[in-house]
Amino acid sequence: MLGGVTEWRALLLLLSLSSLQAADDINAAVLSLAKKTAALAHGEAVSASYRNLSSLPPADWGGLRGAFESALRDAGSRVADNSPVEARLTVSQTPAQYLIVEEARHGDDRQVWIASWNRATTGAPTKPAGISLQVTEIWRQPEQILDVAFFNQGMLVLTPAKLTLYTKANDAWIVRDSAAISSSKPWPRDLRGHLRTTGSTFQIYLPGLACNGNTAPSLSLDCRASEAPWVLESGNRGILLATLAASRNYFDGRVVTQTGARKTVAPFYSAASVESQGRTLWVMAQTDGRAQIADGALEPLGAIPQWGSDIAGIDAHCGGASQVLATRPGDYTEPDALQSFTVSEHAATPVTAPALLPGPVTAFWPSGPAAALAVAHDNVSGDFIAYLATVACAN
Amino acid sequence: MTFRTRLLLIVTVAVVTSVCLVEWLVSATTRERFERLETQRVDALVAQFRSEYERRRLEIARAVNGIAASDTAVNIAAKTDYSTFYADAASLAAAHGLDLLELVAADGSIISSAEWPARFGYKEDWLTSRSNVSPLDWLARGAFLRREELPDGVTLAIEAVGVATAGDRLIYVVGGQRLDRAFLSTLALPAGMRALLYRNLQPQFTPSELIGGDDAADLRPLIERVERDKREAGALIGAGASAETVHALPLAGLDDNLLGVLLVASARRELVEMEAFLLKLGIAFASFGIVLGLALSGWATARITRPVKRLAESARKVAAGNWGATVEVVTADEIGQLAQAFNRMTHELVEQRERLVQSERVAAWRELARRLAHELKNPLFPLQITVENMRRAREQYPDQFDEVFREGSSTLLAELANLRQIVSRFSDFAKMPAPAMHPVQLNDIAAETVKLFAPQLEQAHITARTELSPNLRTIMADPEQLSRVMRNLTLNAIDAMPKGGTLTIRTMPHEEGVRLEVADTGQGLTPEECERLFTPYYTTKTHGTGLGLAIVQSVVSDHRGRISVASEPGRGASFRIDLS
Amino acid sequence: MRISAFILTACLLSAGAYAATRPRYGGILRVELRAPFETSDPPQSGFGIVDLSHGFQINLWEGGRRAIFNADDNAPGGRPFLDSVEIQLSRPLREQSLDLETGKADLIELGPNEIRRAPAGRKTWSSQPVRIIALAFNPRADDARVREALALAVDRATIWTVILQRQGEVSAALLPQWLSGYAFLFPTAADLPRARSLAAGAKPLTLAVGDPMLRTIADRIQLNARDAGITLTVAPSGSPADIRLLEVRVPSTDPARSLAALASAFGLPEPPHTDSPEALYAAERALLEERRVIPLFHLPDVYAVSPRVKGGPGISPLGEWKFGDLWVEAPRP
Repeated sequence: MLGGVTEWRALLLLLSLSSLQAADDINAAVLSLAKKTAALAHGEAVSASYRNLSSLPPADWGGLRGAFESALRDAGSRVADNSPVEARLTVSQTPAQYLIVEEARHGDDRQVWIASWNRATTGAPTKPAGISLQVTEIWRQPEQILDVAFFNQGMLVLTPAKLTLYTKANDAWIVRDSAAISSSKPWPRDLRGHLRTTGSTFQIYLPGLACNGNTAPSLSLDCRASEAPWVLESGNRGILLATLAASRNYFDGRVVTQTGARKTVAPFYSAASVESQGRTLWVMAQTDGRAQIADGALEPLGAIPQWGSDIAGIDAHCGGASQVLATRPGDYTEPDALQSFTVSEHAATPVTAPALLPGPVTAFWPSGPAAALAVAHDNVSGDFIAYLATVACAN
Repeated sequence: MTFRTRLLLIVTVAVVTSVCLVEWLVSATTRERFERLETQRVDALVAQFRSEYERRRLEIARAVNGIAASDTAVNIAAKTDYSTFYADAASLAAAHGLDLLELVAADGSIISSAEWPARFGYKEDWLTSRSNVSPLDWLARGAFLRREELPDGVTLAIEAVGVATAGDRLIYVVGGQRLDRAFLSTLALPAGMRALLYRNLQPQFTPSELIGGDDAADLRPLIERVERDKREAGALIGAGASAETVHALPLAGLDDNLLGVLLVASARRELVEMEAFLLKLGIAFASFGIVLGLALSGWATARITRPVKRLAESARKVAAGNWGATVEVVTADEIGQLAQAFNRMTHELVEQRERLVQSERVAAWRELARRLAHELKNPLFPLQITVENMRRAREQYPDQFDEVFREGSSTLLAELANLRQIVSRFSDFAKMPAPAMHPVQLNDIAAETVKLFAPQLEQAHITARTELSPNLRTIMADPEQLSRVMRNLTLNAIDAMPKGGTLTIRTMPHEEGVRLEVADTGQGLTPEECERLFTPYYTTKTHGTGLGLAIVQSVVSDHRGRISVASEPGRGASFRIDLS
Repeated sequence: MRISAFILTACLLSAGAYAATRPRYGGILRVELRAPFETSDPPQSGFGIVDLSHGFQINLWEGGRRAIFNADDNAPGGRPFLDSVEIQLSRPLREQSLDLETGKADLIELGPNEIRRAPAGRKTWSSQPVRIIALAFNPRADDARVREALALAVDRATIWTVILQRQGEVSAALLPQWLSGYAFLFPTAADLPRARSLAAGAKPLTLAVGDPMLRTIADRIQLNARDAGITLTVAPSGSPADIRLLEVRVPSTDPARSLAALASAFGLPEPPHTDSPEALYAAERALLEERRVIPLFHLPDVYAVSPRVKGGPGISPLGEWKFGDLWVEAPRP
């Protein structure tokens, strides 16, 4: 890959005949440029300068100078100040590649060379830090995670396209099996799905689709179109049947309580039951942004104005009271946080500090009586990360 | 020219003169008043402009200083990077009602320009290049006139400079308003006046820089005079109804350089129209006055001249012989008295004429009696003698009676014949027949008469001389009567020259007719004789009936001719007859 | 406990917002645009409104005034959260900002001046610098010296700093730096002395500006040209001109495709297709060698967004509208 400032037409012809493939990595790119620089210098020393116009990780950028000078020495030249041969290296980037643009000059001879290599997916996850609320990453993947459920030694990961069965071996999750999930209609945006396990069997709730399956002896799955209500559990206390609005991401408000009473409440995203002073209360994160506090019969009592749309009720192990984990309000694109609250008839009281997550919560379901599963979409890496949130007692 | 016409003329001239005089006086007074009023209006407008200009200056200075004192300007002054403020001037200008506003850094570079947003960063050296002007001096200077460069050219503006300070940092606030058509429109112009502004922004006179009018070519000399002299001037521009009195006021800039000329034009149309109106009014009044004057003078002169006219008419009647003509006496004024006098005069004339006629009739009768007595006495005396001779002869000389009787009877017969002739002549005169008109050549009659009387003339030792014009035209006349006139005049001439002389008969064309002159070289006539010459039975001779010249006059009169006599004693007489 | 709860409630109420993290279905996104789009039908090519065809269906189109797009229940990727997108056209930028401030609009365009005036903390979405502002010479302008003189006369940095308020990038390249990686190789600095020497005896030129937003830039270029001794008259668009000040969009994230498209848009020869940055640089250099096109700036699409709009950014790096994933907060009860 050679280019010059003058004689562009000849250069274009030359370029068309030469190999124009990108280098494998930064080292290969640096090496190719060093060779050309040495050839231009004809054995003379090279005065090199560097600058970075890219998002190249600091570690890679830091090694550029050494790599170039080393490669230059290997090519028969060397770096020295105030040399008549000047090389100015600029690290740049395109959406697909990193570039090193070298502007070399030897007297009146000026050359521009560009070496490139493809940008790799990089980036380390940012682990959330919890203080009183323990949030533990349990799984991450680029594909969207709708829900994760555990059973015995296995883990089911529900995505928009499939259900994957993982088993643990050597402290690592290994794919055991998977089953595709398909729908006759396109999934709605902000697709929600929920796994509910009972022993080795499980149910999957998806918009317009209901699946039953079994993990033993092998993963089996039977899906059919259904507008049946979803079963929403909350700790050991509450259970609620709620109908997900067709092609939407919220429940339309038609619910059936534990007593079998049918009720229509305001549309909500999620619901959790909580015990307060011996009473069972329900909290529903409504689509208008408020969290509605209701009694066991779902009669409104009060409202919590500022919660996120995802809540889950858990039986906390500390304090003897049930609590509600709630996301915080904010933009769906912004990093979210989880916080645990106790709820009275008219207000909520935080009992933990917020636990920050690397991105917005895309799924939040109770995971057993004492934990909740939160899926966050990492804004940096783009991965979906599943966390298990539990309240850690101080004692 | 009749008296009435003269009177009408005098009245008309008097009326027209009066109206013209009044018209001239009114026009002159109006023009003077108008000029004075126009001067006052121009002065008022100039004063208004100055007042408006001063008010604008104060407003602009206040607005600019207000901006400079605002938090916005102070905040900008406090900053080191002005780039974010490049559009602020426009909003500040709009908020403070300024057309032009620039925020300028301490080094003179433009931070923001409302009038030329793209000009940020360029230097306004005029702000900072004045070594003797400190930033704060601008505050005291107030607003001033300045040539401002704009994207689409240059303009004239009233501008002020404010200074915004923040600690030891400062920025200039240069704001103003255009001096343009909009500014002119704020001047309350009376009807017929207009204000124009010439912006002296180009090296040469540029017609397009004249705001408020399109007659730059007409105004150019005045503008250039103001530019040259740098002081106020005035001029009359145009002519007629489109003429204007233009007052030019120089407008100086920051360095006393002439940046504009204010022109206050006052249309003279009003004056011209007023003058035209006055002229029309004058003409109308004059016409009305003339007509009225004519009517009044006609009426007045009619009143005045009618008696005079009647008087004249009566006079003409009197002259024509109607001596009994009188004039109606209507008034008791001088005309009335004149009429009374006329009436008295005619009355007296009639009386005198009657008396004269009566006396003349008496005299004529006496003359006739005398003539008759004279004519008849002459034959009667021989008759008496003859008869007495015959009686004496018979008584004394019977033997001779026969002889005497024979001789006496002859004498009696002769005398009786003479008497009969005398009576016949009188009868002929009385029975003068009407002329029988025929074409007559007067020369022929004259020549025949001379030929007829040739023996008698010769016998009387009179030389006959004829001067007959060959160009004499033929006239309509009675040849027998004209021949009789010639004979009578010839006989009269022979009688007038008992000792001989020269008879001259002369014919000649006269006017549209002919003239006959019969002149003798006799003893001539006295004036009194001339006056009475044609009186019937008047004669200066010892013989004759005295009817000769009367017959002549009668014939001439019957031919509508005229006879006159010219004579001096001792130098003969000349009878002149004009016929047509 | 009650006191704490009260305090929390009070604090949250004082925040004055009801928000939900999870996307909310329903609601209308009110968009305001400066462009009039005075056509009888919605545009079929380009960016912005065209992108609404993915997920929305046109419901009302009044060219020059407004347009309404309704959510398509059968859209690939699912029905958009929004019920509809209402677009007001021909809205001046200043009024757009006021509308956003007063809650009459949810999404507005931001010009450089509006960015400067925008209150702190305003939520904005910005694309990559995808709009190329460039001077394009008429083919009849055959004086290469004058073209070069004008290229050297334009003080890009000052314009970028002041008029564009540092929005986007100064550039002398067709492809923006983020797309090619080498745009910085094209020098952007003005060289007035050299421009003056090249412009000696230059005939007067006319510069046509189509977009009123570019008028101030054109006026500044006129001043730059005057400083170099070139008489440049800025004329309205449509009049025959020697030079046009244009804005052309980068159509693709593929540099080679974008270069070809830009060359076509500017009436330049089609560059050879290549995947190599070096060859692409050479091709672009060749395109600009005759200075028939003088790139000046690369500007991003910048939008200001109401806080009630969630799920953003609603635009892609190329400035495409991605409104399918947007939703708006529920109205306050």
